[in-house]
Amino acid sequence: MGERGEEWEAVMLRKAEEEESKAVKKVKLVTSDGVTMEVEISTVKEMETIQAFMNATDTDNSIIFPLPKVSSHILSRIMELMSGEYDQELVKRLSHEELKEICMVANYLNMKTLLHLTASAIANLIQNKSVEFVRHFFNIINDFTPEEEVQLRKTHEWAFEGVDED
Amino acid sequence: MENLRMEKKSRRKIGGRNEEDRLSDLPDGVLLHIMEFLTTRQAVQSSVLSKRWKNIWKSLTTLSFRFLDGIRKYNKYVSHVLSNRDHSISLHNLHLTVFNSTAPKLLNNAIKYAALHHLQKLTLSIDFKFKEIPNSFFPLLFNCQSLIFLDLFISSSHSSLKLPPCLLLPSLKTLHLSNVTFTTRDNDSVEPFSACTSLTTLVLRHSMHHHSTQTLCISSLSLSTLKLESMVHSHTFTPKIVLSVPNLSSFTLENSYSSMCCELSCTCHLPVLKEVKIDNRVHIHSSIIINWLGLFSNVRTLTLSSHTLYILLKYLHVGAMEVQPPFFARLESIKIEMDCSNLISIDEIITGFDSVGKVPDKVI
Repeated sequence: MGERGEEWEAVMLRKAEEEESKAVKKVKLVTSDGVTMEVEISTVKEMETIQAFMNATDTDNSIIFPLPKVSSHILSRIMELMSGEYDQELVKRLSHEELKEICMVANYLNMKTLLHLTASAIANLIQNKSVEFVRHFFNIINDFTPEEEVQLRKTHEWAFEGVDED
Repeated sequence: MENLRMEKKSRRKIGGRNEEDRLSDLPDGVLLHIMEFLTTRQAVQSSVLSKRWKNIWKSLTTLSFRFLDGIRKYNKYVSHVLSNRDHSISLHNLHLTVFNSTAPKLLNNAIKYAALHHLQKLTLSIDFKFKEIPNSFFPLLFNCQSLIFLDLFISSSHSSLKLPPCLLLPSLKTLHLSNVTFTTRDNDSVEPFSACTSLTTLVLRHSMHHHSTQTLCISSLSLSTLKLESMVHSHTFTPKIVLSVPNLSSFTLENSYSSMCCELSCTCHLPVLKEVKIDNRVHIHSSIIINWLGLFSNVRTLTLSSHTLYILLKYLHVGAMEVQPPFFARLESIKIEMDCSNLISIDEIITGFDSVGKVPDKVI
């Protein structure tokens, strides 16, 4: 009887441990606009920046990770892309602004698949477009003097042959 | 950074919105990542966007030179990019198109540069209208000891690229060759791949022209995937291909243009063979297909095109079975790929298979 009781205790203990480890498998991400998003630990696996932090801290409690540079809107878009297994169609539906921000966050959180996907989507958008279009796309202020720009275009003249100016 | 602040100020003035929390500038590393997907011509164009962008393209590890209308000075363009990039950065991936107007010296210089900058992937697309395609770059390619991927695509139908008898590329894992001629120094047989000791994937297309040698030996201990596509080109004799590939797991044979076929044989039992796909779209004698199947009787998944099956079943129905049909001891599934020729219906396939006591698992 005593032996059996010990066995039973051991089983219960193991169960409790399992439950506890299950409870840890959630990560709280706090976005720039103060929204807390609870996500599965498996979701965080692709976010290598957070993964590295978790490996370093090795805490038992649920983890709170602040993302001061990521808005809740962008984070939920990223979650959508991840659960949709990075479907190209989902990427096509993003606005230019969303696409750029997601690309940046993917870089910041070191999410390789997402970075690759968004970078190639951006490349597709600017492929064969004029210098002016690309400036507008990235919000670039041209800080060359007209003379400097002319000189640079001359240096790489073959790169501009046959390109229509707006 | 200066750029970024200026931009934020002006945006706030115009829109009146608070943009403080938004990340409004992609770091250089990300911009470079985006540029790796662009043609090199456009990546270089980005140098005039702003001062910050002026030199980013110089760190590209992928360079892609393709023909575009308007680039009249192609030679100048390629050498300009190569000489102006940052030489401390490796060049991992090079895509070079070679035209009639491309100076052989340019091609050689590009390969020399690549060899010094740890090139891993090379795609050479040769669009040549003259008889003789320059091949003096080949020995230089053997200096690219870091090369793991090579695709030589010759699009001319008049001429082919003469390969040296032996390819000394020990790191190479993937090799795609199209429109090449295998030549030999002394006898009729050539064994070009035995020095590629890391080779796992080999794809040969439209090769073995009439100047080719009679016997091509594909011998490799490392090769696991082999694909042969319409190999034979304007021959007066039937060339032979001898496979000596004990670790082959996947084999594909496609024959769609030439009405001639090579004679295929194998020196080993292919113990790890998993999948075989045969797609023959030309009229050849069905005993040839029976012979092919006999070589690959160790296969687990066999895929046949409906045209291939049509020829095969016609022969079975006639009953003139002169050769022993192969016995597939390890076969797990047969797939039939329907093509648009409509030579054979699904019902006919099922009946045909009933006669040999096996029903296909999947008809697609």
